[in-house]
Amino acid sequence: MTTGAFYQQQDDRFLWDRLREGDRDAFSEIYRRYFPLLFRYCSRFTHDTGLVKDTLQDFFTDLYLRRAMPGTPDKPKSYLLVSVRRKLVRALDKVPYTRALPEEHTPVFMLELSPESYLISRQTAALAERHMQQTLDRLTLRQKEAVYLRFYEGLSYDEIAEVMQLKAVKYARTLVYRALTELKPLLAGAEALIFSR
Amino acid sequence: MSYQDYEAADFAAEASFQRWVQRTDDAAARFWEQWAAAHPEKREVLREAQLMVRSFRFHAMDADPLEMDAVKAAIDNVLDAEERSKKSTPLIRRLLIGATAAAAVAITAIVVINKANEGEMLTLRTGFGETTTIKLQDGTEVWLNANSTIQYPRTMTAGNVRTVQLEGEAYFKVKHAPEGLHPRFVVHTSLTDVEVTGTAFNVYNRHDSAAIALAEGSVRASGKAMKPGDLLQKSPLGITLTQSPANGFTAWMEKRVVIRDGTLATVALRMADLYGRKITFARPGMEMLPFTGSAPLESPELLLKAVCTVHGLRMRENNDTIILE
Repeated sequence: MTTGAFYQQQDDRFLWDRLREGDRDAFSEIYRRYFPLLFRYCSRFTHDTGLVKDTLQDFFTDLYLRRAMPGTPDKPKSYLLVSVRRKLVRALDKVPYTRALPEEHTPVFMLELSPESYLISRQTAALAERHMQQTLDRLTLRQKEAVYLRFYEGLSYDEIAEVMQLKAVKYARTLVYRALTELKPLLAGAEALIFSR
Repeated sequence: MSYQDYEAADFAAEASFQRWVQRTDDAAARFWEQWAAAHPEKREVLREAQLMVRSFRFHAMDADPLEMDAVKAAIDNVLDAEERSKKSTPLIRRLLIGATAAAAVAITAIVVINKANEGEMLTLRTGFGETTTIKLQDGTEVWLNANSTIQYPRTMTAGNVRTVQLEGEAYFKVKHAPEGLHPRFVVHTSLTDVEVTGTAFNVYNRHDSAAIALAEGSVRASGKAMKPGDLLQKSPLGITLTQSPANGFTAWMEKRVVIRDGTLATVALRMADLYGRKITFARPGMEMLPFTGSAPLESPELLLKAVCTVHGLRMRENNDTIILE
């Protein structure tokens, strides 16, 4: 048995304290826990997987090398998300025109329905699907991001406010609420399909 | 804001509500089914929220595990090179911390399969010059001093007394009566057992002596009931119950080595226990010289310098041994 099983039982605070003391195993566990989340999140901003991987490699390297600087974050998840986002935005700014299509230079946040969605599985007509995506695309970037963090990654409103640098937690709730209200018409068609549990 | 005031979008964005709709959480299901039954006026709102959860499922791009490993390997390369380039540590420091400095956090965890019905026991061991903390499954917190070993159950059950085995020194903050688990908590050492009901205390068990210092609550050890502030010491000479000096037994938790009203023999013993380094004296009788002092755990050389200053001694090394003369 390796050290892995022991570290996997520990909470984030323990890992962070060990990381600050230079513990490479604790660092590896933080990487194992958070790389998938950060990769998914970064991939919402760009299709350039290579750039995302480069950014994450630099990000985690710095996390270890500069481990002495920050205290243990209260909310490691949002701390990592907000830091990686800052780094990614800087990296995206530097991308030469040859590497990205011009329209990708405007900030994006991609949000697409999954095939598991009730709407897609019940209404397979391509036209209906396009209509749904168009409705989704009418959301602001901020709304999309908040909806993604809430629905896909299960972040609390507290955490969302921190990641998106909102002045108050209530704005996170407002973003999600407005987004869902805008999407509500999509549900009208599917309403008939709902059945009792 | 209470659920009473929630609209469909609020429910839909609630993590436990999502888990109910996706049927991934029995506890959430029980909660929401009861809540729905108790609030018939919310029926329509809940239906709409359920539809939202089923509809707003998004596509995300997951990392390929192989790519994840490749990125990690690249990071490790950089970090390994960084560590090799670090400058060497000063002499005495190297003597004391020595081999463990390179692996300053070489905590090992070994799985031991216990053949009795208690199930799987895990072992956590600290090396010389390092301390660590761990939280057990029941919420009990343990600070483990240097050169110490604790064995604890991977899973605790209602049917078995919560039991850990200690060699060395540790401070326990025991979770009182955790729900669904056995109320008793016992620390076994080679000399004595400490029986606990919810409390904070320090256990020292090295060589042929054991010391238990109680901070909060109550415990029973070697047949004696202890009150906060009590210090119970057990050695071949017998058992004594006295008042413990303030913080005398917990300084190590703040990563300090403290010698109070000791002798140079105490210092030598401490250095051997915590750092695995042998200290010898050039003249007989020197070990009985009195000493009181403290130093950060990671700079034990300061403690030895203090010893030299106080008693006008010099320090030199011979192989792995530190000689005071």
